[in-house]
Amino acid sequence: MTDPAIVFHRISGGYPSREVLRQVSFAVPRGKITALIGPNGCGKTTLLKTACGLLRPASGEVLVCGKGVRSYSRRELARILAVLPQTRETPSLTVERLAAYGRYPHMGWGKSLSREDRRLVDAALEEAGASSLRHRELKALSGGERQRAYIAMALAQDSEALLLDEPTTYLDIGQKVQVMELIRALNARGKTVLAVLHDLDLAFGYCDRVAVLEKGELRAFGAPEEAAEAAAKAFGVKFQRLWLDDRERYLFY
Amino acid sequence: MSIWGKSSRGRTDGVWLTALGGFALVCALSGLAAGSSRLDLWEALRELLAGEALSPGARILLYVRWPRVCASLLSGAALAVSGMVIQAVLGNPLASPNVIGANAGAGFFTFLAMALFPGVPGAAPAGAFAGALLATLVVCAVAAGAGSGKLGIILAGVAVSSIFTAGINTVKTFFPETLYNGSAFLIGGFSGVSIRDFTPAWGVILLALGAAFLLGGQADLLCLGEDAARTLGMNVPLARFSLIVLACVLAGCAVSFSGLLSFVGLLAPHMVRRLLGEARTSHRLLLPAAALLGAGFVTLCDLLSRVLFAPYEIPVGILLSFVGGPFFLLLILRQRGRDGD
Repeated sequence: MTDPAIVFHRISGGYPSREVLRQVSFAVPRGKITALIGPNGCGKTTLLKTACGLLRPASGEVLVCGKGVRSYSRRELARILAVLPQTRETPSLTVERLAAYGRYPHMGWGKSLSREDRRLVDAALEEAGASSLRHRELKALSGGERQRAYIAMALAQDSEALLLDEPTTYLDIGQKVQVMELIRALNARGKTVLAVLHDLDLAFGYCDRVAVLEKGELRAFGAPEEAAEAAAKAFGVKFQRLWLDDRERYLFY
Repeated sequence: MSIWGKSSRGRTDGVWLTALGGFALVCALSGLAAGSSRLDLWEALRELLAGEALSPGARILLYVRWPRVCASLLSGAALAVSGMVIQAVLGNPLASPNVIGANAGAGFFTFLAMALFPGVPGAAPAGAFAGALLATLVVCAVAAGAGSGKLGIILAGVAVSSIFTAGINTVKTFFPETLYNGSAFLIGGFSGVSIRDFTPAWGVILLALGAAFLLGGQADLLCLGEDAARTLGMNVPLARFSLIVLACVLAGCAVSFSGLLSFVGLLAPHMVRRLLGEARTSHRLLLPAAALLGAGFVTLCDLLSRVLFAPYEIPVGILLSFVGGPFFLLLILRQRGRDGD
């Protein structure tokens, strides 16, 4: 057994004016894909922001690789956790430059990219399937392509874990599946992934662990089959397990 | 490729910088050579290099044109870079020093200095600089207190501007004698400027320009948005604050001797973004390019303001808007065509 990548220990809090999370505890295992699901406003994004130190919990502790998240400097943390925020601006940038920003936490003050940095950026673009987009402008891309560009940036960070906030929102079904397949491929190469997901089918179809949040509390955490019932209850829907293409799928309806 | 986006285009970037440098140089030389009175530039230069300034030509060159050209180059570069930095920090292409209250603050304290210390040399420029800085710090403090980031800065800027503008009008009302000099300040111009008027501002401007070029990479990253920049390991509040203060120092120094020539802070950044390709170019390159373009453009307008109606001259602030305004409208119309593609 390896140590968990991220541990949430009795996290309460959220925003100064509004407590969103209540006593949330679970551990994100290393080398696995963990989905964070729950109805709108249940605190998924808040929890993700707490994990990467963008928000400070009112009480409780987040451990990243065994150490408190506050004990890292922003730079050190950026080398361990790469984050894809939910609300992203679309700055006027080429894909290549965006991906290169991922090297920022590894660079000295005001320095330029080293040969090694460039190699990593190229590799990140390749892995994210964004090599052919490298000279295109972000604004001119489709939602799925833009997502790939941002994932390339997160990969260039060469971090231990990847935190994704709704990586499939606003994408059509084909693009959603592509992004999930990409996440699976990255995970197969050893990347720990924690993703806030809106689509239950994707969460249960692609992830190793599912955490169900409802009204700021953790309702279930475990393998898909363990969490399915709690998930259906949290959303007030029914679910059915199916076998499709030799894989177990979950249908929420 | 580089994180700051030079890539294989390094050569074309060099060409653009050289071209803009050439433009600024030509404007500066024309500014020295031409004016309301004719003079033989080489003759006057030779005389000055020999260490004497006896002929009228040499004296005009040394005491009138040289200070004016220096002042317009400096203020053009400072205002262009200031505008571009603020646009990057606030993520708003229409931002300029007046958005963060710098212009109104500078104006109020200039009027106050004129009213309270009439005729004291240096009082009005010092007031302009201090006012710009004070207004910006108030805006930053309020925005930090509200914890609302970019929008907070813009809203606080609007409120602070309106307070200081009311202050200007109050001073105007109670000290009508400030109206004459004050109106020249509000329009902006270099008439009768001497080296003493922009000392030590020139040194501060050069230092701040250097610092702005060094911080260009930070400006790039801020354009990604606050959360993304923070998760990449950047200290966003610190970077934002240092860039705003830098922009404000540049604007404050420039307006202290040139008055409120704000339009160049909008025009030059937009033009270089167009010329160099915003998406492909880092602020490390955009900022120096904007400085050169701003310097050249203000110097050119100052020259025009001297020769168009010679021997009379019109304040350069008026000309900047008359030349720059239509040009800017043209840019907007072409932008629309491009967005529609």
